Amino acid sequence: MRKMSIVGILALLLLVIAMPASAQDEIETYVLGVAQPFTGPLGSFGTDFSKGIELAVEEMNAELEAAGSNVRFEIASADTEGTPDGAARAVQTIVQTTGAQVIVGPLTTSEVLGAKQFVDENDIVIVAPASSGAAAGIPDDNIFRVIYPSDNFAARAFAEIAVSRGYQNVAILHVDDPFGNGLSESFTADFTELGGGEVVSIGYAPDPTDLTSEATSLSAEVSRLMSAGDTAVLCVCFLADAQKLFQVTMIDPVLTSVEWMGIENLANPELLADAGHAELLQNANFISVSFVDTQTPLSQPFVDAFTEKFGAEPGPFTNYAYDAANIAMLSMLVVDNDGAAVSEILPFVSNHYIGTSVQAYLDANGDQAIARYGIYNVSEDATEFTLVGTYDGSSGELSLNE
Amino acid sequence: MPGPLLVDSLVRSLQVGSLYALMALGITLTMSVIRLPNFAHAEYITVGAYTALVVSLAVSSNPVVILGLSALAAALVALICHFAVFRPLEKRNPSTYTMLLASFSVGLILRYILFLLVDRFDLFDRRIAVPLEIWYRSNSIILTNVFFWVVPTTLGLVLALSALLNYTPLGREMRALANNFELARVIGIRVERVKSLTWILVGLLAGVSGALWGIYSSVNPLMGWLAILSVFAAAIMGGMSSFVGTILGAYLVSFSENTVMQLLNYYLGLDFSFKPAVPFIIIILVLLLRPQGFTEFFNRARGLQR
Amino acid sequence: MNIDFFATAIALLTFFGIAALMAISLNLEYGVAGIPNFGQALFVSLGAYTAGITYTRLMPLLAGQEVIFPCGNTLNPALQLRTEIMRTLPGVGLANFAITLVIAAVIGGIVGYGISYLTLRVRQEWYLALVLLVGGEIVRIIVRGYEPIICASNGLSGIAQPFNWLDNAQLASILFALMVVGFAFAAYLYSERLVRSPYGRLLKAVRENERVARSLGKNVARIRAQIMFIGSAMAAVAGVLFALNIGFVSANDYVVTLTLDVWVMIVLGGLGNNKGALVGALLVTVLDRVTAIVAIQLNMLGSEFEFNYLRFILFGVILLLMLRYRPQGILPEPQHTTLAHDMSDAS
Repeated sequence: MRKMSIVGILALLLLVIAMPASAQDEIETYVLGVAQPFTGPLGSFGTDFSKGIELAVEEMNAELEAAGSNVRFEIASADTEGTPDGAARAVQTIVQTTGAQVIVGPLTTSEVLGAKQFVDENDIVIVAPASSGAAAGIPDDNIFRVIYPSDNFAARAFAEIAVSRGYQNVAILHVDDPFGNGLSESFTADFTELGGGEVVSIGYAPDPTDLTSEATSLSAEVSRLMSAGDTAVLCVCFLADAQKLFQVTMIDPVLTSVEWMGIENLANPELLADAGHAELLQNANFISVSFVDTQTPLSQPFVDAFTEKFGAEPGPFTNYAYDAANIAMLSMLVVDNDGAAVSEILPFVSNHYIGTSVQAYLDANGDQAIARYGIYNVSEDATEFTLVGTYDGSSGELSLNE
Repeated sequence: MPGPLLVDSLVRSLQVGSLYALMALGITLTMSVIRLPNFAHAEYITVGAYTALVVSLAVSSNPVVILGLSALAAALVALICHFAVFRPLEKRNPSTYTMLLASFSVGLILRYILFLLVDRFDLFDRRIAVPLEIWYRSNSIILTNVFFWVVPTTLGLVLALSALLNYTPLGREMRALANNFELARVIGIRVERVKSLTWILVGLLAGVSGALWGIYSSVNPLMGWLAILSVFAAAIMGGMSSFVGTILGAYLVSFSENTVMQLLNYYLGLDFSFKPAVPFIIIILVLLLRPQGFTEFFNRARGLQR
Repeated sequence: MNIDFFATAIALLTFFGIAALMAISLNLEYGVAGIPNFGQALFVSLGAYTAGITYTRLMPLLAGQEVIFPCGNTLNPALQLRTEIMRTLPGVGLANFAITLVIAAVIGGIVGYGISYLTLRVRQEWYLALVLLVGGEIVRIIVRGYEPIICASNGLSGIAQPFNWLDNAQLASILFALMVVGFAFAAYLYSERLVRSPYGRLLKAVRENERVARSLGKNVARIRAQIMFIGSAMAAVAGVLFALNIGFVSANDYVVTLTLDVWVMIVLGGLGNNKGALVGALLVTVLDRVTAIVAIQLNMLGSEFEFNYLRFILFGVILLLMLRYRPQGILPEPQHTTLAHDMSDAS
């Protein structure tokens, strides 16, 4: 009896493993890997990105079917847990279990670097939608960061805005990680170059439990800078950190008397859901440089399709994942899903791709070279962010309606 | 460092310290009465915070209601963990590390159940719907409604706890258990009943502190886990047995993280990114220089161990 | 599903070897000598940081080149330099690797030795555990913020495994896996000999009853320090291999979770027992991979990410079940009996 049930189970297992292959000998399946942090502090990004990629794959499959192609895409998704080691394992598992040649993800620069050795050795291509740290801007490898441009562009945009608004000094509060540090240093260099005054930079450890001391310090520095000229605050903070920060700055007389600038993460209606924070931002004439340029014909349809499929609007940056997935899939289709070949053809495909934001034109490192930003302000009724200007990274042109 | 800045910093240290005190008291209670270094305490706090979030969004914005329900939810979770995990394990006389690993596992399970629920109900990055208001303003100090909830609640709960321990039969039994476990059993104290009630108490404390912490800052599934080592630092300062030691330890930790860190930054240019190391350094210094904590100083004060 | 069984096996073998090294080290420290080392992550990280430093500062010198600062503006040139050296001068790469192992072992050992003397000061044993745990975190925070070591939070990439100059990637991974397993096996043999020797019996005596051991004139503190030296050296070597396996050194990989994972390995496998440590390491490594594979499959079938959370819940539940129903582990510690007194030639 025991023997039989073991045999039975084995047979069932073999059947399950064999089945998908045999039932689809007409359809050719390309596996698109997705390596994102689903757990850990960045879990909300990972899940939202995955949904965007899912939407992209669904649409692509529908188009392929309508066109009579026998290729379909399938997603193989693994959790990187937000660490470089986890990313290496996730990518390895995806590739070795499903034969995927192209992976969309991971999220952060550290994770990308964690997976780098494996993908370079095994001719796997990584298309990272949101990594922007300088440390991964390496030529001749299999890592392509196709949509989100290097933070240097955003830093430049902020510097230009600061000058345009007449700020003489700026105090930066930034998260102490490659992203925050990079943007802060870039901004300082650019602002000084454009003739700005003093820049003070305060870094806080990632995943803070509490930001009161940093806020107090910021207040002190701003107070000091104010005596020497018009001062503003630049907040290079993640959404949750900003929420903690605002609880403290809301009641600080110095910080509520100056204007604020904030990174893309903060141009998020979620932040305005709290009336107190919304009022704070409005009074601070809050301005954000956001890479969401809603001027392509695909931008709104993406939002609509996402909302219909998942019952909620896409989070910030999710459209990058959507675009990255499309670039990956198109490249795979062009060269029949061979890793080394995809690596060669991807820049070409990218350079001819315009999705929900801007054209994905890659530089020598395989990273996005086009940076066209939308500049956003809090609306009159403090319920959303409205576009008040644009900045073109390649020409350095700022157009601000203030 | 300018005067108003220092005052401001001290006020905020007081506020955060009170929160740490509430959280650390739970750990001290657990350690002295139940003899368990409970890493899952972090998750009881997070449960309290999420209950507060849900209640504030769906039921009412009344702080009393929010705190009450959060306390009850966390107490329930603590009790379930006790009956499901800790009690069956204790019967087999395990080593401290087995219990530590068990508490870590329980914490892991609770944390990811919370992740699951947060993902399912889309509660990421939501704030507890209790608006911040300024209730007192002077030239050098600004005090908010949160301050007036946190500090008196902490004091009130501490006094209530103290009264419970010293003037009620239950309190006597708990102290007996803390002082000498075997003897307590011998003289007929219903150990199991006392333990269950202690867990409820621990849960209530964790729930309230989680809710207040959530109102004060923000809510995410890892908030307890991220704060737990600071909280342990406070409990260790009290030698894991003295209440007053724990409370003062909490204020000391908060003061070091905030005011001292600020001074170091102002005068020595030390980066704030090293802030998380502060409670850790305190733990090491205390454990190496004065491992029994500061219990001896509080011999005359009411505590769990004389 | 299109599983490359061979590649998966090689990958698992590599992760298993590294995990086994860590588990054997912890088993020696706690299982045999009774020292609750909750700072494994610290010693592993020391090995990784050593590798980071030697590969960026020492290797160029060995190749007769100038050292380029690996962070900031010179990041790319420095990276290209070390990648090129490893590809074109494999001898240098291997030599550097060997030197790294030695340095890491020595540093890890010394730090472990030093820390063990701290145990004299600490009153309750589990306080030592907390000191070690917290010490690991302090080092992590410092390394994360202080640039010269591994470029602060940026980390160092291009810390490649010593066989990657081979054109055949699969061969390179096989060789690396075999080498890692070789190290683990050597550690296992060494530990086994240690445990079965009179010294090993002494360790167990110290573990069981410290006062008695001390009364017999044994210098308990020095014995513990010696074991910590050996165990920490092993952990540091594991750290070097860990970093090389990924190819990237970052402070974020050496967190408390790593320490707890190793503890889980030895508790599941069986305390005080080298075979148990191996079994535990294998179990945890395989479980991690298998649950990841199941998660991929379930996701393909349409479940919505929940399994990613369930993985951890499952892990916690398995651990609890083991602690409850089989606390001695899968392979309980064998009782060694020795003749108390040989009566055959009594005088």
